[in-house]
Amino acid sequence: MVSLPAWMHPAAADPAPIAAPRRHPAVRRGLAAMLRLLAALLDDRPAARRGLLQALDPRVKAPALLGLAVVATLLHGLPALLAVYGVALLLALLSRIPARQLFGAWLLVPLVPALAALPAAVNVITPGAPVLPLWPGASVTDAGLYVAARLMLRILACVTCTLLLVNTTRPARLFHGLRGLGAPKLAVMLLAMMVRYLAVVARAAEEIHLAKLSRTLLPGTLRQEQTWVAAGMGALFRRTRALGEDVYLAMLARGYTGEAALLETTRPGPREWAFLAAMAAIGAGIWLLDAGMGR
Amino acid sequence: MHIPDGYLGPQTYIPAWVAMAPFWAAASAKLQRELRLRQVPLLALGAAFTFVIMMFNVPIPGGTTGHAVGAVLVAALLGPWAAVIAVSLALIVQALMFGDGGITAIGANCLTMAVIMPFVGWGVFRLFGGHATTSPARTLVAGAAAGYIGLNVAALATAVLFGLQPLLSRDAAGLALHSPFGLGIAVPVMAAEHLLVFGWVEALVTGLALVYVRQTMPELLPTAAPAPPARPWKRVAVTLLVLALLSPIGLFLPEYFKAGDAWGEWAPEDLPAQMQEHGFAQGYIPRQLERVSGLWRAPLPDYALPGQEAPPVLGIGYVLSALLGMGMIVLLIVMARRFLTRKEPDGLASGVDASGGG
Repeated sequence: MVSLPAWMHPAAADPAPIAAPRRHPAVRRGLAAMLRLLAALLDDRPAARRGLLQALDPRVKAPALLGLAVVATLLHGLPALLAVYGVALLLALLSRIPARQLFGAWLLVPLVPALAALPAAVNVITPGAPVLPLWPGASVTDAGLYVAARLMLRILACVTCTLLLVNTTRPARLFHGLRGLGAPKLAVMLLAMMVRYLAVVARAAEEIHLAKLSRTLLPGTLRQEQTWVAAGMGALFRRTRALGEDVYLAMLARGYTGEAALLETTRPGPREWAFLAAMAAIGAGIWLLDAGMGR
Repeated sequence: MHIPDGYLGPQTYIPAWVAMAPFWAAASAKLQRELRLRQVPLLALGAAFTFVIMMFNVPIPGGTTGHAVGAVLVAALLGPWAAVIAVSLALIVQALMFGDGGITAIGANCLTMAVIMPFVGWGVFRLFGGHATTSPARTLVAGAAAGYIGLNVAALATAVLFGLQPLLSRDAAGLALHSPFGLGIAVPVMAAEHLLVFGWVEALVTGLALVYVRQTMPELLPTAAPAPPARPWKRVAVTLLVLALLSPIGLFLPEYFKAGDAWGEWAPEDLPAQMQEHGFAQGYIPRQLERVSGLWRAPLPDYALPGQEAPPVLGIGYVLSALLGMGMIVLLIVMARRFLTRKEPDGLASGVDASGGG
């Protein structure tokens, strides 16, 4: 049995040691970002759990979950948006997604866009009856609170649907799900190949950062540090290009003739189609109820 | 710059997906013609490179850091059409796997960062003479200008998409359904942060990285544009002359179809009648309009020679006006070109040529 190199083991990509950027903040932050990326790419433990969504073919799961996200963008009322969020949470529970993951990363990802919605609550953006004065001439309004709450809930519902798909599907199989949405075979092949080599390119970028960190005691001037970043990108492009040539030659050696090919050994079964039908019915039901509640 | 889900309504994100389809199709067709079999691994690796360079942190004054989008750098290294595919793939993976940018907003994000940014940046890079044989200083200026302008135009497009939402999607009570920030807020905020901070980060990264590539692997940069034909002026002059002779069409066709004046281009004295036609009880000339309308008297008002306003003879005035206008524009361009461009020293260019062969 062929074993993976040590650096490809999920435990090897732990961003914790690069936590406090004091010296070389740019290098350390870049390094931490590369390690987080590697951890996300290599850790497929959430997708390996036994649960409802993990057992489904991504070609059906992707249209179902992304369709629910699209429904969330069409809704007008808060109850309907809460219903979509509730459905997503129920699916997460049935898929045994740990609560820590559910309420940790899942709240962090939409945090920035959701916080950006907060100014909408002020009368400068959304006029209405004042409910909380902020400073002379500016106050939080009832209509503003409603608009901000609706936008935040919409973002949360959409992001939860996407994260459900990602956290219950192995990265290698994730893009096969796009076939279910009508994506061309070549596009899916490119995406799958990109994700496969993303870890290798991120690893090369991590090495460039580590080399810089291990060879310099003190950071240089701002100009020197900026030049290093640009040179690092140039060096990474050089390595990426060489790798691309190697991969191309390896593909030729394996008989590649330009035909896009995907390893699709299974076909969606009755269970998958039943799930898709149920999700379509739920999505349509929520949308119709929202429309019926008076827009 | 990554638009999340929920900020754009279907009235915007669906047309954005539709608008992206021809770009993806054209990029795919163009690359298939140029790269053939090699395109698949090169594009996949190029997309991985695009993804990773967005994670490089650039130190900026004040002790903090920022990061670049890198789309202009990718366009300069791989070409603008390859950049369309590579940046699109990176954006799709970011949205699907990391929640950075929305799923429904992939079309809009690709339009701004995978089409507008690389093409504008590429155009600026070539306009400033950025290619393998220019001096490092000029490569730096061309790359930095391309990165700065490319990012800012893309940011402006993103701000316009945000700013249109309160106009396009509202509920029955008139409240914004998606992004509540109108053009008056979205455009200044996005413009300020990109003109003052992120644009400079993009400019630095793009310019310096291209200088690095120029110094170490000049063969990866685009080659100089082919030399123009020996007498391009002849062709240009004939084209302009034909266009000038055709200009009276603009006079006779509206007359034939009874089209009237172009909307909004009425003379002040026509305004009262137009206002009555558009439902006003009484037409009038606004006082300020009346005051400023006499400030400037055109030498050829309505493209007519003095006393020759009747339709058949007016055609001669149209042709003369066209020739005069085109002549003035050509003169201005020639003067601007002389003023703005400087001849490259021969020795420098030939020296780079010799070193760039490896």
